[in-house]
Amino acid sequence: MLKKLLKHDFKALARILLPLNLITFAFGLVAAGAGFLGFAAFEIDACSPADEIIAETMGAMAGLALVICTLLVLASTVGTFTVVAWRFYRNLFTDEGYLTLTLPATAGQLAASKIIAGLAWMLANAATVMVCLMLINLAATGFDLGFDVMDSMPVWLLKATSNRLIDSFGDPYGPFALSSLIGSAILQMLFMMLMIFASLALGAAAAKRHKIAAGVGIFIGLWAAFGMLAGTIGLMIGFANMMVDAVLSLDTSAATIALVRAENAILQVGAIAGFWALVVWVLKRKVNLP
Amino acid sequence: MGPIEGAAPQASACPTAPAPVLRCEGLSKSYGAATALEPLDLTVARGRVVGLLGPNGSGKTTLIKLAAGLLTPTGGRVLVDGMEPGPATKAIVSYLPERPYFSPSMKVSACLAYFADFYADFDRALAEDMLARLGVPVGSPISALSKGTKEKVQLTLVMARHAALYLLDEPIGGVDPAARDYILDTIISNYHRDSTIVLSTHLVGDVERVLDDFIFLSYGRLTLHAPVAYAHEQGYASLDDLFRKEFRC
Repeated sequence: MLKKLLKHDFKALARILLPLNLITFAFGLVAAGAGFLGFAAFEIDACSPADEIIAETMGAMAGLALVICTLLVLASTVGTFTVVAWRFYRNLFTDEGYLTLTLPATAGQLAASKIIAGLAWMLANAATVMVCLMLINLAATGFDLGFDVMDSMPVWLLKATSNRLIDSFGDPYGPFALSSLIGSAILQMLFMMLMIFASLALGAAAAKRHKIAAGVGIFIGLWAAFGMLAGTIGLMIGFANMMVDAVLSLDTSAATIALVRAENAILQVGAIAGFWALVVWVLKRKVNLP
Repeated sequence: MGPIEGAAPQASACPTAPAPVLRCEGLSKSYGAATALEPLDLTVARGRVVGLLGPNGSGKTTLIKLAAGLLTPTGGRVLVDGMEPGPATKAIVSYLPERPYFSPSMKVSACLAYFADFYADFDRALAEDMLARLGVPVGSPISALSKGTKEKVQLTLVMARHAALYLLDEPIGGVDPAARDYILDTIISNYHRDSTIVLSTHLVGDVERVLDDFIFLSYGRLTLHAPVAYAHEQGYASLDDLFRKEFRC
C-alpha cells in the first residue's frame, strides 16, 4: 500500500515541482552566464574610456542579473517547502481528505508516504540548487578548475545549514565529514518538514475556521519552544564546561561545541519522533474534515 | 410488518442468518458541547437498500462518516462486517461524500487509475462503460467539468466497486431532476445483491422507489427504522408522506 501511495504522491508533487526545478535550473544557467559575463568584463583590457564604460556597464548588469537569478535559485527551496506542505494539508485536511482518508491504508502509511515523497523532492531541489551554485561559482571564476571546493558556494550553504559542523572535523575532505554534513542537512529538512506537518495537522484538528492560520500559529509556538529548549540545554552544557575548565584548568571549548551540536541533533531526532507520533494520532483520531 | 428495532431481532433469531454488514452499539458523537448523534443502536442487514432520512442537522452525515472511519465515536462503537473502522473495513466500504474530493488538476482517466490502484474490487471496465454512457470525456481534467458531472464521475467510480457496503451521502443532492433517475438506476443496476447500500438524502420522493428500508433520524436520535412497506401499512400514500408528517416544522 505504501508503494502505491508513494507513486501517487510523487506524481502529484511532480506536477508542480518538476517544472519548478527545471525553471530553477534555467535561472541557474542564466546566473552562470551572467557570472561569466561579469568575469569577462572584469578581465577586459580597456584601451579607451569608452571601453572602460562598456566594461563597467556590462559588469554591473551582469552582477545585477547574477544576484537576482541566484536569489531566485535559492528561493526555489522555499517554494519546494511550501508546495510539499500545501500538498500535505490539501490532500489530508480539505475535501481531498474524503478520498485519501478512506483509502484502505493506515494513518502511518499515509503520513510516511507524504514525508518520504516530500523529502525526496526537497533533496532533488537541494541537488538542483547545489548544481546551480557550483555552476555559478565556476562561471564567475572563469571556469578555473583549480579552485578550492571547500571554499565554494554549495559548501558555504551546507556549512550554514549544518551549524558549521564540518569545521569540527580534522579532515574536511574525508568521507565521514562529507556524509555527516549531508546527513545533518537531511536531518534539518526532516525536522522542519515534520514540524510544519504536525503544526498543520494540529491546526486542522483544533480549529473550526482559519485552520491554516491556526497551523501557522502552532508552528511559531513549536519553533519558539524548541529554540528555547535547545538554547537552555546548550547554555547548561556551556556553563558546566566552564566550571570544569575553571576547576581543572582545562580548555574544553572544542568539546563544548561538539556537545552542543550533539545535543541539538539528539533533540531534533526526538522532535522528529514526537511530530511523527502527533501527525499519526491526528490522522487516526482527530480528523476534522469540513 | 413493523419497525426494525435496533438490533434486528429477526436476524439474530435465525442461526443461519449472515452477520449484519453494519452494526452500531450505543454509538454517539459530540463536537464539544454539541451532540451530533445520541447513543444509537442499529443493525443493517446485507443485501438491503436503506434510506437514511432526516432534516438538516439530524446526524445523517455524522453517522455515515463514523461508519466510513472518518470520525472517532465519542461513545459506543460502530462495526462494519464485524470490524471496527480501519484499513480492512475501508477496503470493503465504498463511500461517496457530499463534496467533490478529486483534485481539480486530475484528469478523469487519472481518477480511474487511482481507484484501480487502491481498490482491489474496482471494476475499471464497468466504470469506463458507465462514463461513456454518461458522455463524460475521460481525458478532461476535473476542473473542466460541471458540478453535476463531477458528482456523476464520483458516483460512477464509487458504484463501479464491488463493495460489501456502499455509503452514499446525498448522492442526488446536486444534480437536476432528469439526472436523478439515471443516477438512481445506476446505483440500483450496478450493485451486487449481497451488498448493502445506505444512502442519505432529503429527496425522499425521488429515492423511495429504490429503497427496501428507511431510517429516520431527528436531532441525532433514531426515531424509526422500518421497511418501506411500513409507511403504507400505517395508511400513508408514500414514504414521502410519512416523512413530511414526521418532520413537519
